[in-house]
Amino acid sequence: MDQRLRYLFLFFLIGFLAVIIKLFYWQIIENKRLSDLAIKQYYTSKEIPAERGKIYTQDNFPLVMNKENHLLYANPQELKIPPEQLVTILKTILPELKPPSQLSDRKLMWVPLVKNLDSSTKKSIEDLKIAGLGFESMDKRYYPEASMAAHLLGFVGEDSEGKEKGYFGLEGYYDNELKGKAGIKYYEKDALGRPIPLSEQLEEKPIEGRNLFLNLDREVQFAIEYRLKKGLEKYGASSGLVIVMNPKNGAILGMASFPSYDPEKYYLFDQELYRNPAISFDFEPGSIFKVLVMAAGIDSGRIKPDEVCGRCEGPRKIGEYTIKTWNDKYFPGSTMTDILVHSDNVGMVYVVEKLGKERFYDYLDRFGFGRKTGIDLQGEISPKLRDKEDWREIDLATASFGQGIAATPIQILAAVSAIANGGNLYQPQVVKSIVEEKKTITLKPVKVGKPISETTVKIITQMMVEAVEKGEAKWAKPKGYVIAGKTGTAQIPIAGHYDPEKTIASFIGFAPANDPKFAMLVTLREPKTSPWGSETAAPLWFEIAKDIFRLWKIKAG
Amino acid sequence: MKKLLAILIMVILLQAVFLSKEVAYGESAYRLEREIMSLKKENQSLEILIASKTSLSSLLTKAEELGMDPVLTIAKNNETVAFNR
Repeated sequence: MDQRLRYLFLFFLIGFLAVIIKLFYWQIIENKRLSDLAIKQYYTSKEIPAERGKIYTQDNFPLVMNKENHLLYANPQELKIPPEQLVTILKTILPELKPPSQLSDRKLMWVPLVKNLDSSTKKSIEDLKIAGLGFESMDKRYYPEASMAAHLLGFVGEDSEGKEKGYFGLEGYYDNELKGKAGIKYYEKDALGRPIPLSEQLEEKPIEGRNLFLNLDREVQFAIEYRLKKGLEKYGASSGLVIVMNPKNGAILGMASFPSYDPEKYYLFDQELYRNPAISFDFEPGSIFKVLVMAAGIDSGRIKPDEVCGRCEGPRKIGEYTIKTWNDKYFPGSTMTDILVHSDNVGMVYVVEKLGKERFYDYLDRFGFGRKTGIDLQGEISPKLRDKEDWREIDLATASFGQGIAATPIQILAAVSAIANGGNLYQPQVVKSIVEEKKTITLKPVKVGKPISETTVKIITQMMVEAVEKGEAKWAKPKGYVIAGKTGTAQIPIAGHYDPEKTIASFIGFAPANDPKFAMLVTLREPKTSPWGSETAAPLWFEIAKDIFRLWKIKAG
Repeated sequence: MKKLLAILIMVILLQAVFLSKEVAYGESAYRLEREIMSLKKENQSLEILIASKTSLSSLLTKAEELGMDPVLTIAKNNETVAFNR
């Protein structure tokens, strides 16, 4: 009997010990995991999306906003009418509806039908009172000025996880600032997984995206887009761009390029169009580059403004190459100003030879070539400068008139703006301030360097004024205004040589020359009516300048 | 015994009052939250409406509908001529 009692005691003891060990395992060792599991069973969470920041122009007009959009879905389990009948009814409001095959599957509870519905369409569908239909709402980007400044803005798409993400332009560059941080709400849920309204609720509030206030002048932007569109038609160019900058601080006042795309329906356009030609494409600038080479020559003291060109009497032979002027006319005894006025390639070779390779390279660096400008837009590139030791005599000669050297339009404009502002190179800036709920961050102008002296600036400005007054484009210049500028016609390199037919026509300048309010670059690719910058890009530049004079009430004289 | 019963009834009544207040509070909090959301949405729609009505592209369309020539479409906007008159 004792023996049996002992066995029974041992049996219970082992049993209790097993229970205690298991309890120890659950309560001590697995405590964290099981608690988390329990919380997951009691609680449900819901993400509270953060509103993406808006983008405003200089006059506080919203260029990019958020608009509520709706996704229509069906719950086949709750549908009281046959799917075919549902489709027929819905097609009266949504004629383009393509019913998914899953609509007939009674096991499913959620079948998406149409997305991107506006509120009025949603209301029309709700008024039909069809059981088994529901909506999911989400914010989507809305552009009150339609596709204005599309390249500058970029667009909002989705990342690999299906979350909103900004691409290109401002949306890409400032994605972290714009997107904010989503919040989260925890509810206790019932056995069916529904939130219990009076239960304990934990809420992590969303942090709304920051708003961007731009330097962009909406009226100027509208004018340049309007003029550029007309200009492309008028001159039969395949593409074109205009950039307007405040030379005194690098603020981007306007930036347009065509062909463009609609950021709201970006997915309908060729992906090549997403890249902003002003910052993402390079080109050989042609004669507009001459003002920078001349500025370098004068600033270095190697040439004087009234110096007479000693080798301008005819074509120049350099190695196996012959360098001619654009119209094969030659002006022996030209001064440096005459060289710019006549856009004389041979004269520019004289300038660069006096400047020398070392100094020329040094000035290219000072003007910011070979590196990105640092503009606050996603997608900027910088063509690489040839290494100093690789420059041959012919490379130096052709670079003096802007061929055989590549730059982006924004690099060229930033460099020429240094002539307009007393010799300072500024980083181009699109955003003026970043505003969040209780804080405003104002972005100050960034001075990158001082490539040339004020004395040089005065001399070059005067030369550029004469280039406008006496140059090939003088016929188009608005009367009474003093404008400093330079035309350019660059050939397009293809497979190791230049296309004999196609050109890139440009005009760069600033106005009023004595107190510049804006610097502007106009570039037209492959104009058909005339290949010359003086007959295409220059008149377009002057047309836009007239608009700006009127908008900003800049008087002649 | 009677005292105990009275205390029990009082406790039950108190709990009922407390719960009803909490329900009312919860309901009004929920209602307020919904109202805030709907006002936010309304505000957003109004902002969009104002922005689309005052956008330069819609103003240009409107001006053209009314038969006006926007300044941008006038080929010669030579201010000096006007000043000379």
